[in-house]
Amino acid sequence: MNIVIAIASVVAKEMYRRKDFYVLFVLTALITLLAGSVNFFGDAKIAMYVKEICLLLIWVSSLVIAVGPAARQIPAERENRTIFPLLAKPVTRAQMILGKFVGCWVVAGFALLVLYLFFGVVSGLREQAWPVAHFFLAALLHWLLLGIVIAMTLLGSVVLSAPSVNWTVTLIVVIGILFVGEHLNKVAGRLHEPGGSMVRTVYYLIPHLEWFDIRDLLIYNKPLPPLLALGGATVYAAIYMAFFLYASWLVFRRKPLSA
Amino acid sequence: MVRPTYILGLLLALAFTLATGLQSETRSWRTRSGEGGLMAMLFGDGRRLFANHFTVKADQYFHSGYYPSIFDQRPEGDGEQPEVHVHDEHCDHENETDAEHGGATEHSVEACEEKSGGWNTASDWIAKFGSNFRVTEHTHLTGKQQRELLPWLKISAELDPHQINTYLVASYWLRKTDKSAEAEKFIREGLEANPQDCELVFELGQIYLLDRKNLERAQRLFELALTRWDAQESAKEKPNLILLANIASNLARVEETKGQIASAISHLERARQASPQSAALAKQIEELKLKLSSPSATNSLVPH
Repeated sequence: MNIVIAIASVVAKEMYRRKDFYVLFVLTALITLLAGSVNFFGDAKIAMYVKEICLLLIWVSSLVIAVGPAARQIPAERENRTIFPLLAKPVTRAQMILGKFVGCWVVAGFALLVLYLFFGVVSGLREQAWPVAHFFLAALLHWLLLGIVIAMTLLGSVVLSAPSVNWTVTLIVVIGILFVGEHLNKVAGRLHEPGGSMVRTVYYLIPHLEWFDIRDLLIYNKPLPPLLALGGATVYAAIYMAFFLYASWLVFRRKPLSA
Repeated sequence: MVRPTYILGLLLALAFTLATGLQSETRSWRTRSGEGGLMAMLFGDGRRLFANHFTVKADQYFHSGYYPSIFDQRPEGDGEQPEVHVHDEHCDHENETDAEHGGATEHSVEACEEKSGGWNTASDWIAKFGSNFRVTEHTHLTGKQQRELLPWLKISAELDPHQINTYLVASYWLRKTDKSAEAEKFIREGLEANPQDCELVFELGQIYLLDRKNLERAQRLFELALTRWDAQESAKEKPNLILLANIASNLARVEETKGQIASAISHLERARQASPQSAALAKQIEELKLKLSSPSATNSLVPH
């Protein structure tokens, strides 16, 4: 476990030194504040559109923060040949994958904390209401989603040829699932066989990332999901994270280390 | 060797000179490309797609996020489509009062539910479980909350200034949230972009009649709307008869209030041409004819 934590802390330090998060945070804050400063029909209390824009920017930023660094972790180690001394410590390949995952996930969590804190302040000042539990649970579910995405990206980094390919493919898959994942079964119902069965199979196999997106509940000030559902979503996320990490290890353990 | 400060100074002077030259150019961007100005230049015709998206977004806000996606619409020929409709006073919730329309009353929500055809049914465990994390309760925005949909309508109008319905819907909600002055300003913006539109003139007339209680101005605007309706709509294969009925009956209302019963009857007859089955109009005409035949009743209608 100590080895995993040590690798994770190295990853965290590397991500901390890079300026990705700062740039994205400043952009998110700037665009949100600009949008909030627009006066529509002389009414300064209109809040929902600011919340919507801010949350959209937070989601885009978080995906960039999670996918980018996770995609380059293993390829960079191989390219720089630092993977040889690392594995000679001795560190097993499973520990390395787990360490990389924990590092990326924890840093993404801190980034989310800052972003949601900003969202909370903007939303609270605008609406004069502070539903802290809502903000916290939205951030928690978002963090679970990022866990799945980071694990998926690590699998991509040992399967796909280059970090840029992995980055692009993962983002397309994640955005695709977020937009159409929940509707695939309806689409399958309208298709002829075997197309219908194929789409239905995809529907049951993909991780349903849309469950972790409760932006609408925040925007429209709706009640939170029941605790049982939150627990179920957490277990679901844990299973998918384990699946992607295990698959990454299966591929990585037999992979030649020289680039 | 040139000192760096000189180079910086030279660059600054160049930038300043260029800025003075380009400023007049950027001013012309607003008026270039005819209509739509800068937006049209940047987005071209694509801006109309975005405009439509933002109008739908406003309706989505009105329904508090409870809204069908394109995947929830049934395939063609499979019964009635779940209807996506922007709420304004021109939509056909006939039996609703203004207070009910748009308010989160059980009746209006149920009416919407009936219209949309119950799209929100989960067919499998994934969809059932997923419904915990999205809006599944159908409510409408009420009171001051209704202002929340206005930004999207404003953006939509910026993107497509020729979408008349956007101005009408925004005006309706502005008036509902006690912003009649803003409604008038917005309708006038619409008229700037669409100078000949009779619906916008009619809406402006309504603002003067119902909010400002300015009968004279309202009457002139309704008459202008009627003239434009005759010029634009009467020759069409499918003219907007609902609009004609609205303009004519509002004109009749103004004339009746001013004591001009004969004119009021003639306007109601015009409205009846647009809506021949209307029993209410027929009854109204009969009542006015009765008043016309008894002069004492007519005199009492003249405002003092």
